[in-house]
Amino acid sequence: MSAANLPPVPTFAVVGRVNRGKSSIIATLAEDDSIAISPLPGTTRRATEYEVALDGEVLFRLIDTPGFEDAARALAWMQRDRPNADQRRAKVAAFWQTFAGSDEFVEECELLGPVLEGAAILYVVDGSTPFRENVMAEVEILRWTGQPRMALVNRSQDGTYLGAWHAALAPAFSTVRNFDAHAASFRERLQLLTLFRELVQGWRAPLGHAVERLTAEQARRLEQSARAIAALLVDGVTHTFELSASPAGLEPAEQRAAEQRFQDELRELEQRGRRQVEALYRHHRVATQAEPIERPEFSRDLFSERVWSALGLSAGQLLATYSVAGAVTGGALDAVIGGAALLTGTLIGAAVGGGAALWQLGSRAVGVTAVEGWAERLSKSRGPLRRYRVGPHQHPNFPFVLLDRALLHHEAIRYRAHALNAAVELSLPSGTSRTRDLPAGTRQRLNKLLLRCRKSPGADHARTQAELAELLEALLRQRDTELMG
Amino acid sequence: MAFALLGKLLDVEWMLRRDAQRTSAELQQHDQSLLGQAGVSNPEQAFELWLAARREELGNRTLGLRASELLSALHGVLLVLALLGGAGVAKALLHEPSAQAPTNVLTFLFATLVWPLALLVGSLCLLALRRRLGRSVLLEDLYLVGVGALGRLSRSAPAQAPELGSGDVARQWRALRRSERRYRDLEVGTLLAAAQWYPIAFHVGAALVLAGSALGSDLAFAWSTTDDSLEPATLWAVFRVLTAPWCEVLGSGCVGRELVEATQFSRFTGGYAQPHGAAASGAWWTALLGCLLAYGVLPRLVFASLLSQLVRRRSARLGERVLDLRGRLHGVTVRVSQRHPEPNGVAPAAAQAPAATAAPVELACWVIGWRGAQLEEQALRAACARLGLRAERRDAAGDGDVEHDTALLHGGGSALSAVLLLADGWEAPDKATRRFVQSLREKRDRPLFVGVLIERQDAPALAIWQDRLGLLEDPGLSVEAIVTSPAGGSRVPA
Repeated sequence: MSAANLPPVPTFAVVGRVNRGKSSIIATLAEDDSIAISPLPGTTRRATEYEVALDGEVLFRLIDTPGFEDAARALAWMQRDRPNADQRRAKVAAFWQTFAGSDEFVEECELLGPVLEGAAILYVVDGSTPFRENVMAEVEILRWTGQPRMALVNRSQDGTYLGAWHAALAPAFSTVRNFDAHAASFRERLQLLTLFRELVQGWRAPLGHAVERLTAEQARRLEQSARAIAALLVDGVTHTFELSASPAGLEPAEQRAAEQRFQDELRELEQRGRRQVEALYRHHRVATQAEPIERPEFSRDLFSERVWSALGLSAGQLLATYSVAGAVTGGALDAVIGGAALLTGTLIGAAVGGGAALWQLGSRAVGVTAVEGWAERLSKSRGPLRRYRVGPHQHPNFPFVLLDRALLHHEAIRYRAHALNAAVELSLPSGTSRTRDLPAGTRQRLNKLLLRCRKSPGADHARTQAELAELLEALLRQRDTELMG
Repeated sequence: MAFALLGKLLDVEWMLRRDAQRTSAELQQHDQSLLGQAGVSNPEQAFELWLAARREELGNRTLGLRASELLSALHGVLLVLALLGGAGVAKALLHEPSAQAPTNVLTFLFATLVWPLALLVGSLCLLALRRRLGRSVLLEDLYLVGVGALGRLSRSAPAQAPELGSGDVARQWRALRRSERRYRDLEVGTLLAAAQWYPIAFHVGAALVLAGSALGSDLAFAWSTTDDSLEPATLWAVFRVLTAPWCEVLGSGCVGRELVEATQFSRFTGGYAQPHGAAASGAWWTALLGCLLAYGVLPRLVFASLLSQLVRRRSARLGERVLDLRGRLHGVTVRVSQRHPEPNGVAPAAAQAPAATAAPVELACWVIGWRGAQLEEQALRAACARLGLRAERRDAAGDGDVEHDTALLHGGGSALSAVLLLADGWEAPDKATRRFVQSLREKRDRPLFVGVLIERQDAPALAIWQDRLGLLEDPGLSVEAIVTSPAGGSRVPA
């Protein structure tokens, strides 16, 4: 096809038989989960254009079209005068001119319109069903248009019929690819664009640019996600609120209410963080059945909770992490006195650190402390109420549970196809802790940063948060490499 | 009556929810037993009979019936009250305590016409606002109070109607309203349509008393103004416009300038402006009657009729909701159709009935594999036997060769008594398929079975095929499930 006929912005019409997943493919390629996807045939009635744009720049366009409803009869109409090869495109155009706006061949006209205007063709077939001869009428019509075209075999995970589909479509399409709209990775999406770049010379430059922009955008999303998770962690471990109660302390009912409120606010924080990450990846309609942070009871039963046993660091890892932190502090003292104490400082530091971890493992997760100093308390000793601060969360595993859940959520979102949002709820992998697999050094560093925040919840932690974000970005990038190669 | 429609919809929705617990085979059997003896010829009739039979099963004590009865009773009471209200107001104004004072025509019109019209404008505004506010701000709230009262009433006899669950009509109705927005729309439309009849009754009551009093007693009318703020010419101009429709056409009920000038009344002088005012004042009554009928009754009737049409359209769209039900009924309807007695008694494929229940005489059948769908010989024989058919000829169609398909329609097995079109469930029943099915039926009026090959009895594909072919509304067409399992490219019954 000559470059003169091509629209300046690469445009692809996604066509195929009714109910073969065209809209799903558009949703995944355009990262748009608002596209109507329905198991009922004939959901798409009009050709609809979707722009894939970044910062206002349109990279390419995708056109969702209604499915072929009566391709055989349409082809029969076109074949009436037995046109030569060079007359066929004109014949398709004549077909469109004859029937567009009439009650006949409504869907065929609707899908051929954008193709005749210059859109390249993405022809979608369902790889989970056997190849049948009748689809060749559709293939023939598309071939007659003379537009650049690629066939996508959707739902290709069951490979039973793939051979037949590839063999049948190969003669009529420049490329035939398996592309499962519900499982396609970002890399597969890019590969599709790269293929088209090779296929259509006129779009080489804009599609190359689109691939570069999308790759950069994906990297930016990872960086932004790391920042969002870092902010969530800092907010989570420093979260507190104040309340007034009698000088004698909180009544049990007041304490329960305060703890409940504290847990609710943490859940809200986590949800907000998740929405941020989802928005980064343009997942606006993702539904999840996974519970937010489990509400631990302020008793030992807390440790029997499924989430807390599955996520975060194991008890051994926590003990080791805290012991090493104590040992480092003690070691510093040893160094100051020139090792004269024969590493007693290190040993005591490790013991104290480990002991603190053990004590905190069994302690109440939420601390309730009086806010006023002694002087204030004395001066207000006759006052009816005192101020108390609830939080931050004391459990040593809490930041790691929070981090684990954030990492799992990010993983579920980053590699999720947008078409899935209409069909399947987001499920977070359970029982697969990411933090437990971290190298000890990384765990130490994380713990150090998080402890620093928790110790002074009211302070400004911008620098710590930035350090944390940097560390998390490295972790996310490493995971990305593991998963995507 | 619109409340009967509400009751039907409520019952359908309620029964569909109850049916969700049962398998499709059980449902098919149940529907068959309900309609088996009925002899219906179209899905609409089948739907009505089905609903009647299901209600009968429950002793006619269903949620919908109860709701519609109570709403109808309430409607009747309100109608009577409105009629009495209109009559009472008119009576009070026409026969004031002081027999010496004539009835002020402006007061009469305001009380019996203007404020009810203002209410009409108000309800139109509410209707418009409802789009913005998401719900009617007044009517719907009042209605919900009524529904609450209804619920309390219905709780009195839960034991007699265990199918009603707790017997709390209001709770179940609210649950439906929350889950189905269209119910709310339909409800509001129905309520507004019903609400129009109360002012109509009010106007009619007033008009009846006015006419009765004019004929059976001596009425005196007048109009008054303070400091000549209202000129007789102005009033006459107003009434000339108001009475023009009937005055021009019938020549009666007119208000002339002389009448207006003569019937100006002053309390200070205790008399009319002109000596013959008292004698002339009776002429006002026909004009007032005309105003009541033309500006009171007529617009409300038009509004009520428009709303009723809206409700009908809305209720027609509810077919989407009951597609599942219609799909079930459709197959049943065909089997009990009197136009095609041959397939009677054939157990539905979905019900997996034993072959012994098949029709005693097997119909010679033309089997067409649509778009490559096929069954092995043995499987085909079994499927045909269940449908009371005997495969005589096999062909293929839908492979993209239009000429071949056309030739097949004109020749092929056109002499045979029935057609079985085999189609893969995963194929969409597109326009080409529907066109072919229609052509098969048009060529000869004989039963056509579309055997949808599916791997599970409850495959959603079957409902899609039933739905799409149901659009043809052809009683001679039946969509049957043929449950198969894939085995090396061919299909074998599971």
